[in-house]
Amino acid sequence: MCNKIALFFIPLILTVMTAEAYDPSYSFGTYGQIEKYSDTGGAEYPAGISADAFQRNTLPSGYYSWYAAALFEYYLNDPDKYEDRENLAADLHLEGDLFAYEAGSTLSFSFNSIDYSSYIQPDWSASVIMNPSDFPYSVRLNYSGSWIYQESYFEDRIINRLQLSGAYDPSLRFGVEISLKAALEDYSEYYVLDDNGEDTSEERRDYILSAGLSFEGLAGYFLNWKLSSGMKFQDSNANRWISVNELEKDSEDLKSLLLQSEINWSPIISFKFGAEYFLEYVLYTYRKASASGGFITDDNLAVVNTGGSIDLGWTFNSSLFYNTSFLLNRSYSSDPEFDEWNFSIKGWLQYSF
Amino acid sequence: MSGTLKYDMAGGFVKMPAMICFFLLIMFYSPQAAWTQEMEGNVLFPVVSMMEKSGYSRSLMEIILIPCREAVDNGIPLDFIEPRVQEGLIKKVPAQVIAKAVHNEVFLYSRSRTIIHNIQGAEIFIEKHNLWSRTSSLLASGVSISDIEKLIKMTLSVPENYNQSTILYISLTKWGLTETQSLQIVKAVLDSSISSSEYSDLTSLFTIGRRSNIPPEKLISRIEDELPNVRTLRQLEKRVFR
Repeated sequence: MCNKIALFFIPLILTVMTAEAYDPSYSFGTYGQIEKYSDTGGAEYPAGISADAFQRNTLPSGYYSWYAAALFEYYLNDPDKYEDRENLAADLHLEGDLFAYEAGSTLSFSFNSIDYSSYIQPDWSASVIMNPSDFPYSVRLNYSGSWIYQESYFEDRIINRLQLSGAYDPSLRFGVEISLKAALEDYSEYYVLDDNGEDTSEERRDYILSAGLSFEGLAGYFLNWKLSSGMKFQDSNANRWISVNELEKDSEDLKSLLLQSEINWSPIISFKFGAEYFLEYVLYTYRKASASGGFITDDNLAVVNTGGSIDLGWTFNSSLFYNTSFLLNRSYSSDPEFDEWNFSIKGWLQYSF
Repeated sequence: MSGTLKYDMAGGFVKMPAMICFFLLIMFYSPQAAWTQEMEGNVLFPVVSMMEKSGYSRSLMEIILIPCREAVDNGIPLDFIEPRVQEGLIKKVPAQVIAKAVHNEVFLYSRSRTIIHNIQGAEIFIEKHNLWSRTSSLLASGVSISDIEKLIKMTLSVPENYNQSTILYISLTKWGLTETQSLQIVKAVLDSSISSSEYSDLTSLFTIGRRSNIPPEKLISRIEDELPNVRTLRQLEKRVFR
């Protein structure tokens, strides 16, 4: 057994060591932001600094790459409010005549998160891609997983996903992709409740099925566009305690429909413009909407989420980038808990080399 | 009625302005008709015929024919010149302006031929009129002679890819890359398995990179590294932005 492992790893290590390495890319940035949420008092003013590095190396029949990023954010309106966010990632891509293979992992974590005190989230992924040489078609089978640990929040969970997708990509001018995904989410601190609203020993488990269809392309030489749509079905054993002997079963079962669009335009090197828009309709299968007084109505809870962003960027020397972005999100629902909005304006400077 | 009817020698009334016009037309058209007939069989006849259909007078035609004769004398096919004349005629541009534009065309074609002649083994760029014409267009759009020479040399073995390569070069420089960087990309794409019909779309990789604030120098390096490993721009996109 040991010999077989050695036979696999020794050539792999030798391949990686002898791979041609290219100069890594680095970037450093600083930003300031104004953000406002409908459920908080005044506006908030986070500001931060960030740094990231990236490197890719080619292998005889593929490549591997790594990425590292760190960010520190401080709220100018609240001296006690600050957080850090870190991200490490590595990817491996190997190609054969008919099949390509991909594997990757990411580690996201924070030592001091505003929402979760601290968190850690490793993600892992493996894909087999069938991509015949002379055909613009490809089929991908992907398995991915995540473990989410949030110190001061109860939604720690393990997620396993399996995705099958097919793409028709004849050129950059036009491409289409269709995908089917099944996911299983096992919560470790989120329990099904009994009639008294107490935790039972049964942990929450969600089954999620989703399908997506997206189109992307190029208009002229300088404008890229993308349109995508998706639908999702979620079956969960989670329930909601309303009052004594009043338990709402399967309160997190839902179906949703999502439409998204995106354009990015850069007619000259010094300028870029990007815009995104989304519209999502979420209908809970069993959960009833609450009225403004907190009373439960007979209507199923429905939420319409919509929003978009605009991103403008300038550069004066192709290394120092200045960006401004505007973001606005709005959720409409008859249930006041879900009727909310937020907006932000952000400006940042980034030096890349 | 008054002022239009006059008493004539025969004692009748005729429309005097109409008579004058008739005689003037005879005086004017007779020699022009003869001149046009004379031009039949001449190499310049297609241009003359075009101008005649547009109602140009002989004197105006002569103005336009001067640079056309210059083209013929310089061995520049009239096919190159005709579209410019036709464009001017359709837009009702003054003859002097058309003549100046044609003269400029003749200069550009002569100049581009000299550039091609100076490159050993590049005769096909003269023989294939679309390649010669493209070279002339590059000169007209301000591309330096040195860069044109480089583009021709790069495509000597694949002249059929010359036009697409130059379109890529123009779009990259128009977007903002330097001439040297643009030539670097053209060279790399010519050495790759990418179909020439996709060349011009490569510019979009820089606009996609711009979205993530990737310095063009870094992107050029990645594109050069990855081009030998891909067959389509979609594959290249996936590799350089991963």
